[in-house]
Parts: sequence; C-alpha cells; structure tokens
Amino acid sequence: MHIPDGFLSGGVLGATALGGLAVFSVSSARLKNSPPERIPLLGAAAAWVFAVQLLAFPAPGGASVHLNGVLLCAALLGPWSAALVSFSALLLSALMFQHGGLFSLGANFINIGVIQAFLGFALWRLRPAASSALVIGPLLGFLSGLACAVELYLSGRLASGAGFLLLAGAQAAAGLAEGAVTASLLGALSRLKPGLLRLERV
Amino acid sequence: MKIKLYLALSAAVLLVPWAGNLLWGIPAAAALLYWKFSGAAFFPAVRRAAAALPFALLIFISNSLSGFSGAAPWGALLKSASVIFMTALLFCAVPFSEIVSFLKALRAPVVFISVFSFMYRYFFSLKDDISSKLKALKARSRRPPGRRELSSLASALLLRSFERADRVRAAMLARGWEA
Repeated sequence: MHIPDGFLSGGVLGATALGGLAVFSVSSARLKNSPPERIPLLGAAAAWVFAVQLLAFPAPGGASVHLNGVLLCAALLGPWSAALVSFSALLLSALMFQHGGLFSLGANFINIGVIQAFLGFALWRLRPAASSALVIGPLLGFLSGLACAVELYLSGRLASGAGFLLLAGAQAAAGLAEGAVTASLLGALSRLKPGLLRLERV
Repeated sequence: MKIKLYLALSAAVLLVPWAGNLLWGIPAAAALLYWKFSGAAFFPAVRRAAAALPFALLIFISNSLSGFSGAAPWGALLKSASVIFMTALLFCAVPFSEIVSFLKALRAPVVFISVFSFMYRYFFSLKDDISSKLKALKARSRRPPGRRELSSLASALLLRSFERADRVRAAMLARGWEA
C-alpha cells in the first residue's frame, strides 16, 4: 500500500520522514565504497523492481497485485542494498505514476522498504530456501499493512477495527501473491543463474 | 523553479485543515495555479492522475468504514487529488535530468544518484520488453496470462536486466569510467 499525499498528519509525516532519512543515509553510507560493478547492478535491480510493477499478478479473491520486489532484492543483494533500491523505486514511482506521495515517501519507505528489506532478510537468513518466501511474503505484507494502518490511525485517518483489518488483510493477501512469485523467481534463478544467489549481500 | 513551486504549493495544500469546508478551494486553486505555471498539457496530466486515484480511494473507503463521517474524508481525498495532479504536472513539465540536478543540489548521496539514474535509463528498455512479451503471451493463449506465465516473464526480465547491467558496466569501464 503506497500512501498518497494528503492522508497523513504533519507529525506523522515528519517522524516517518526523519526515520526514513536515517535509514536512507545509513544505506547510502554502507554502499558508498561498494565495488564499481555493484552500482549498475543496483540500478538494474531497481529498474526491474520498478518495471515489474507494470505486471498485475492474480491474488486471492480475484484481485490483482503488483510486486514490490523488496524481498527478492533483500535475498539476492542484502538488506541495505534492497532498502536503497526500494527507496529509488518508490521515489520514481511517486514521480512517474503518482503511486504514493512525495511528501509521504518516508512513510512508504518505512512500510515497504525498511520493513520488507530488513525483516525479510532476517527471516530469509533463518532458512535460505525458495519455499521460505511463501511464509515470509504474507507475514511481511501483513506487517507493512499494519504499519500503514498505524500511521493512518495516528494521523486521525483511521479508527481501529474495520480499517485496520481491511488494510492489514489486503496487504497480507497481496503478500501471499508476492511470496508465491518470489519463491518461483528464486527457484528459477537457482536453476538458470545460480551465481546470482551468491552475490555479496550488503 | 517548477520543482520549488511544486514543493511550496503541495506543502500549502497539505497544511490545509481536513475538515474546513471553506478551505476546500485552496487545493483546487493550487492545482490550477500550478497547471498554468508548469505549462504542461491538462488532459495528459489528468489521465496520469486518474490512474493513481484508486489508491487514494481505497484509503478513503477505509476512512469511511472506520466510522469517519462528514467533511474530513472528503477533505483528505480532495487534498490528495490536488497533490497527485500537481505531481503529474511536475513530471510532465520537468525533464528527468532537472530532477536529478535538483537532487544533486540537495546533496543527495552520489551512490543514490547513480542508482536512480541507472534505474531510469534501464526502465524504458525493460518496459519495452514487458510490452512485447505480454503481447506474445496474449497472442498464444485465449486466457489472460496467469501467475506461472507472469513469474517466468518476471524472472526472464530480471536475468536480462542483470545481463544488461554487466554489459553497460563493461562499456563504461572501456570508456574510462571510475565509480
């Protein structure tokens, strides 16, 4: 769920912008001294994350979802790289498709980039197999939806109850599809190009 | 200048209280002012903005389900629609290179600027790949492509994307690039 501008209060916008900026700054600092070949690789991953949003994957309940690809990037490239890739894709998505607001970029980065990159990577490391994504995907989706619901609640935009359930439930369903696609992508990559699963994870 | 005005007008719209009926004119006036100033075509920007509105509508519905009533949900939706429209105008009116220059002026980290620029450059070739592959998938089947077909398309795109990154890097190194 990309929160558009206009729905978050000033306090929530400020707090999430500061939090997002902190993670973004540390990610950039961690990747500052990367080997030169990593930059085009991150650019290619970000372009893929951005382009794959054009594909509508069928989700439970007859809906369709767009991949955000952060879990896959975290599994392939590591959490800091996945966070930077996610930030770049979210920024371009807000500019080009108005999918999520520029002022709410910090909130969207925390909900999608930070939660999915770091928690996704931590869970992935527990059992680094393609099938793990089937469990991690919906869990991350649920947590992202919950974070989004909390931000809206703190902004006075959502009362607890039906709104929380709607957002977290919809995101968990989307996460189910994301997890299934990520699992099949990881399976395909391990068959077709296993070298990609052995990249340095930063 | 167009970026700075966008930021100023959007911030002004976002500061308008949600429930103030009399202030509803501010988001609309800001959107119209920015349209005039940006020089971008009206209808392409409206089309772009309309594609983004369902996400705002979903939150509006959650708002309504949560028991909010009266002007507040409508005020938020109007503010959101106004900023979405101005963002669409911004992207129509300002070249990508100017956006990158603005980020540089803000002292954004070099590694981020590089990744962001590479992403934009690679995106259009991937977009063309997606269009041609989707067309081929649809031509071969009566039903719309399912999860399996789309997953294999996404993995082919990922491989192609990484291979392109390798080729570009080799070409850049050959031209003396050092990052």
